[in-house]
Amino acid sequence: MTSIKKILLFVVAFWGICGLSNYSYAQSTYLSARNLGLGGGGAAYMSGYHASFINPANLGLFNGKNQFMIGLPGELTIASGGPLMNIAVYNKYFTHGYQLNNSQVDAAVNEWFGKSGADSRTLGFNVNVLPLAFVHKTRIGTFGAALRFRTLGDVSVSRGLAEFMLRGLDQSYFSQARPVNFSNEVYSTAEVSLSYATSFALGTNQRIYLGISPKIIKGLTYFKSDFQSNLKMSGDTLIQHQFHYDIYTVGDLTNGFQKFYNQRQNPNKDPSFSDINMSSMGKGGIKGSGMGLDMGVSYVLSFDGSINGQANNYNNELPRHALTLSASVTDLGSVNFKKNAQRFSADNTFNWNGLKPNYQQIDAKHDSSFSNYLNYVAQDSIARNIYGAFSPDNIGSIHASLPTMIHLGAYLKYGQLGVMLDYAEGMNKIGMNSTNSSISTGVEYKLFNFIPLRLGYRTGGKSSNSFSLGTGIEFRNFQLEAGIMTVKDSHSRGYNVTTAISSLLLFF
Amino acid sequence: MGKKVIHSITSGIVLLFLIIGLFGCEMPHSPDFGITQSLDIPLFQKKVDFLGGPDALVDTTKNNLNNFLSVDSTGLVKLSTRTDFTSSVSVSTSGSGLPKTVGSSTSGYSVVINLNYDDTTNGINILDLYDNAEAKIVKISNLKYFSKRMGNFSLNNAQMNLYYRTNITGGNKVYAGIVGNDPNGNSVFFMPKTGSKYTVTGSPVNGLDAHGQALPDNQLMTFGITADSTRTDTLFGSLKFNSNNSNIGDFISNLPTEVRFIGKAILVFSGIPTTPPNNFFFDTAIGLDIPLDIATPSQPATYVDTVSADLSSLPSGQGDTRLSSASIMMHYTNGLPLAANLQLTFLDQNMNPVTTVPDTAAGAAPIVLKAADVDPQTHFVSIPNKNVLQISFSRNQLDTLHTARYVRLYAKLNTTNNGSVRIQASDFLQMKLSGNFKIQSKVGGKTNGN
Repeated sequence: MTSIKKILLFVVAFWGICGLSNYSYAQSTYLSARNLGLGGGGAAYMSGYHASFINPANLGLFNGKNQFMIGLPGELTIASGGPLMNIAVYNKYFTHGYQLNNSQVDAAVNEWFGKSGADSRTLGFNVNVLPLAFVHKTRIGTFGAALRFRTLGDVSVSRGLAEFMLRGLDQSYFSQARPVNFSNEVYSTAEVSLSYATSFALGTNQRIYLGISPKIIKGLTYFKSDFQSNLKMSGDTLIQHQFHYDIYTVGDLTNGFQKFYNQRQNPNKDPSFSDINMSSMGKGGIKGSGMGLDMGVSYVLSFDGSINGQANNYNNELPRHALTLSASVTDLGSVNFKKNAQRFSADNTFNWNGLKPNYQQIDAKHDSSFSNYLNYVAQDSIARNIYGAFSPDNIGSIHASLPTMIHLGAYLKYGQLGVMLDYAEGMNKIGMNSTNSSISTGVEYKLFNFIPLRLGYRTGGKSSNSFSLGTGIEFRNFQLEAGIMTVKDSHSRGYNVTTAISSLLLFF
Repeated sequence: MGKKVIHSITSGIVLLFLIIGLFGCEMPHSPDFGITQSLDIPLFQKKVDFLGGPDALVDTTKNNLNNFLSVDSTGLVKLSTRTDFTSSVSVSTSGSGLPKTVGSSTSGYSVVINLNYDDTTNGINILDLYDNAEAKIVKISNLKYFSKRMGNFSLNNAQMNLYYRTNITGGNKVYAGIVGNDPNGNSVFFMPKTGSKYTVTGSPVNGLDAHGQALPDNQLMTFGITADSTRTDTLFGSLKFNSNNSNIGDFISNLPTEVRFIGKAILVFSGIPTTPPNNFFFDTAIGLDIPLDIATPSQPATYVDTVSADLSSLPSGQGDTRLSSASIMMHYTNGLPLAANLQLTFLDQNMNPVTTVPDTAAGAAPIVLKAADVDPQTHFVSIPNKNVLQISFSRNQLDTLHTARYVRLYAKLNTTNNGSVRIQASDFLQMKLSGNFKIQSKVGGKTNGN
């Protein structure tokens, strides 16, 4: 008991320290309604089919008397956040009725983006849908299978673009070249996970669990754009916009870009941006394929004496009083999008020093209408022939990494009370993933033994310190849960909001 | 019992955290802010020639110039052609062009020399106005738009200046024929008025032809070589032909694109006939001045033009977006010897005035486009005027601009220093317009005007 108290004290102290520090991020861990309420960790805590996505070692560590777990539909999680979504700055400057002058805009943008013109802020999003998941404990181990649809994405905006939005073409700011950049990447996948976990005893009250969850992944959608530019206004006689962009497309969307390009090469054609139908991004079926892998290990120390069940016994259950320590790696692998994969690039400079009307052309081609001529200049001359002057490059395939993460977790279960602590670090910056490490902690108490009350806290990752709540109902054969995570003060690293619903979980 | 207490306490703590969490977490509030976006943007740049096609200040493709210029006999501005000598044409007294002795006496003798190159294919010492090898051809490009576009255009007080430089000594006499041709092949001979000092009666020279026919006396002119100035061995002289001494009105009304000149000089020598000296030269340049009465000090001419300008897309000031300030900067290089006092009147769809800029009635400074400097000798532009002027709109004006559908430009024109100036078709006005707009937008909160 003394050791448990020490652990609890440590957790509380840690929580307090994290609460004082306001320098933190979110992270791209798999989130369900269960672990979301506990701060978003769960390498040691999550069990059942959820474990397939965060630590397959825990695949069978659910209600001990049950051999089957089915999620139908299993899970819906929507997460979004990052420094770009800075609610604190938004609330401070944009909700009090201020007519923002230049110095206030400066202050807002400084707080939002930092003081360097090259600073940028990102916003990530992640949507997970598990329409079907299944786990079965057998004498030779625990097997699981799950179908997951996932959409990952991020958007990045530079300070210069924010200044442009708030100030307009302000010569006092753009008298020196300022970066005006934005980028985004989004892809969707459908994956089938086939998981397996087994365990062996270290002693009567200690056990090691091992799990692996390979995934077959089909790529459904991919789009990426990266627009880098410098905007400069020289006096009041010249606007110079030097830009370079790359657009990566697959499937039907590529056809739209290609059609626009082809028509632009033909002087008798009149290409239109409407040929590029962004809604076609999701059409055309499977556009790529890949493999993924999650794997992990857990150590369970029972405070109740012997661990119920033996190795490969399907009756595995986490003891009522136990400590679990886990380590896992998730989302190893990638997806190669090969169907019609193209890159469209442009490198150009737009110099605007005023309209130079050609009246003979206006008479001959624009019905002597100056407004028609202006439309022509804006749409054709500038939009189409300068900004739309991209060249295609058949790159064969587009490689999209999965948001690989490593997890270290601890979960202390003491009857109806549970405490969880997790460390996670992303290996890349896909979607909500961040290479900044994050620490999550949470407390769970099962009121009346069937109403879980969860409270969590997370620091690190992609957004500011986050608090989470979760609850639901948990019966032996049926569960329905929900969780939410959000930020108390997004000033330092932005906002984050995540919701998850575990709809119908059946155990038998 | 102990367990129940622990559970109750724990439940309470968790619930408390839940409540704190619910009320403590950050929530985005409704937007309520305003921003002022600048639009400092180059709008327009143009180099406008004074005279010419659709891009020119005076559009000579139109059949009526009265919207801009009234042509009068007593103008201060003269549309002029440059009168540069192009190349020196030597006239020789040797070879096939030997001068013909036309007379001799004990006190001396005289010979006739050709003032043009003599192409002998049409005969020796026969100069033909329509022989391109022989005639001195002066292109009048400045008038080509007039010539192409204008029919029955009469200019009553025009002047033609015939400049010459020669090493022929003063006192000798020239007989010449001049014809002006328009692009359609219509020719008008330049003819001195009967009784003027340029009139020829019984020409003593032969071999001045047009299309192989000798020019009659009334299509010839004569003048004595007189030096306006002399530099080294070159004598510079000029003749001014106007409506008092010539048919210049008809001649210019034909709007010639070229003027052709042929001539011969009778050189008088003292002593007995001998071989006259060689290496004479005689160059001509022809300039035209067309007086344009577009400005007088007491009554400046006014240029008025109305153009369509639908400004309905500008914010009205009643909604969430309003134009808080607007000004137009005009960087100009005025290569015209004309100043303009500008005024813009914005009109609604019924052509009723909405507002006027500058509002001089309210004390606003006039908008003046300054004239170029002119050379006091030639009266042509010497130094274009580079300057910037600003057109600003008041708060009240900005709120009414959205009703404007037309803009009427009034320009009161004056010459440089209200003096006499000469203007060429190629004189220009170069301008760059840039707009400085501030647009206030309100997002959320209470709508303006509500």
